[in-house]
Amino acid sequence: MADTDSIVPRPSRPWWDPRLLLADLVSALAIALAWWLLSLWLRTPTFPPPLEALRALFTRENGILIHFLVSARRIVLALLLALFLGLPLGLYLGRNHRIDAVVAPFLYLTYPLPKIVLLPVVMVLFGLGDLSRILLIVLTVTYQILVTARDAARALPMTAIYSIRSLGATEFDVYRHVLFPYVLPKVFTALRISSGTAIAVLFFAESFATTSGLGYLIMDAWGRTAYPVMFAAIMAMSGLGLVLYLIFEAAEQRFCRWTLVTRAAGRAKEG
Amino acid sequence: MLEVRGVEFTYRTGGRRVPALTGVDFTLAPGEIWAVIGPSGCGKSTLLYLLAGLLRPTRGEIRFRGGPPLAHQREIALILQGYGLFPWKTVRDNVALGLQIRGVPPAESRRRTEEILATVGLAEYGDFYPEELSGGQKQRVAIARSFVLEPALLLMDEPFSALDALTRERLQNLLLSLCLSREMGTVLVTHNIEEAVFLGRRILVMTRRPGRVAAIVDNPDMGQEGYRASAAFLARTTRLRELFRDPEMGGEELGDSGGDAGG
Ligand SMILES: Nc1ncnc2c1ncn2[C@@H]1O[C@H](COP(=O)(O)OP(=O)(O)OP(=O)(O)O)[C@@H](O)[C@H]1O
Ligand SMILES: [Mg+2]
Repeated sequence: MADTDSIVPRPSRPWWDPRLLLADLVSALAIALAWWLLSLWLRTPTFPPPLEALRALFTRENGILIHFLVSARRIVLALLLALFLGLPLGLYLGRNHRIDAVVAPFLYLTYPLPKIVLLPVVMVLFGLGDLSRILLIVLTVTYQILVTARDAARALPMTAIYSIRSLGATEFDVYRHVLFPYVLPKVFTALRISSGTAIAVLFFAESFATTSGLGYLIMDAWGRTAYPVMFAAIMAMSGLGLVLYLIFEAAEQRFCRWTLVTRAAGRAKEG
Repeated sequence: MLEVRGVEFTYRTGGRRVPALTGVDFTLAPGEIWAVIGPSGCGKSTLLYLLAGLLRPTRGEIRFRGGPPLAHQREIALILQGYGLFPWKTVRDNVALGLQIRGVPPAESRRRTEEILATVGLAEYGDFYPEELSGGQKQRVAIARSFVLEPALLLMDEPFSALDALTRERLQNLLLSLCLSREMGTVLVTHNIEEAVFLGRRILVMTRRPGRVAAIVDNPDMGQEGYRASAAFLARTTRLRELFRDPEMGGEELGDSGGDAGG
């Protein structure tokens, strides 16, 4: 019940809990096993067994680390930018109903548009460099954070505003002590969910007119029929997504410690 | 200190108009405690929001120290019905929040916070989050959060309703001594007739929605030593209870529920 606000259900334990780590390890091994069995059955060089891909991953000449770092830099910058744009704007719209009434229709009209189709437009405007690729991710993720923050801020009970205002709060205090902490857990959830989308956009943005990044490497290795390298790059890309996911989870548990408490208390009351 | 003249208030939400208060008049002198009592939904909380400057009267006027009350004026503290605590802040941070907003130096803020937490019996709970507390404990945090500000006007919306009889009496006594020693004006909304008579120098009795002032009962003996156990106390609670038998006043509803956890 307490998890209805998060799409991916999460245990209310710290991420470093040994039981969770063990579960992660077991699922990783299960995936590797399935992969291995599938490769045995297919018996084709286009689908190498996991160990071969793993060897390619750690072979220095393939330069996977460099491409990984390039991709990681792009996506981290993009997510930070999206957070700094989407969160304040979302809070502001959630709090100012008159301005929201003007902006919201525009927002909801453009929200379902897959921002990825704007790739040519962005590249014409901002060139073929890193900036365009980053902006494409920013465009996608900002919307998700903005809409999440706005909807969450609108759901804040009026009594919470009364409560802080009766303490003599300025408008800035309302944002700092009430709105921001109130929406933060939901923003982290949005970030975790959109990290998957962000990786997808990154792959697309990197597969075109560039010679760096994991997306490029996947397409390049495919063209060279270097299948172990291709799979190694795919692994690196999912690893990137996983790391982001874990970072957001750890950050949420660090900055929203109260949600763990509240969830545990809710469970206790349910019996 | 606080003047309320012909105040009316109507809620307007999505085309619906809900008149909550009509024609409320009274004047509160510095250091006086007023108890407000009336049937559920008659506009008691609305009255406190108006006094705190969180809502503006639809008609009429409220003057606090010569001007309209302003929420950011910082001399008025409000305890909301249902505590108004922030689940993302620890007990200590909830209590210190008003001081922090007022720019009180951290060391002093810390000292006053610990002091008031001890007074309400929550010295060991500073690091807890509100969700980890019982209803009565949360209520005490809310009380501490307002008391620590030492306001000139204290507005309380059923602050003692979830407490056990012993804690309730202790906090009632604490409130009484604070108000009397600091000349702190107080408006206390309550459902409890004994509480109103024990704490209210005057008792404002309200009718059903839209709330009007049905009576202002003078209670000159309030604050005297041993008042709770005196014959005058009993006589006054009995009189009030009779007043509430009137169907205009919500009938039996309030008159009889008052005795459950009184003084
Ligand atoms: N935000 C609102 N919008 C519309 N109507 C409201 C709103 N808040 C309160 N009301 C109405 O105004 C009336 C007075 O509400 P209020 O909360 O002041 O009552 P109350 O006397 O405090 O009741 P209780 O003793 O149950 O706390 C109620 O009948 C309620 O229906
Ligand atoms: Mg009320």
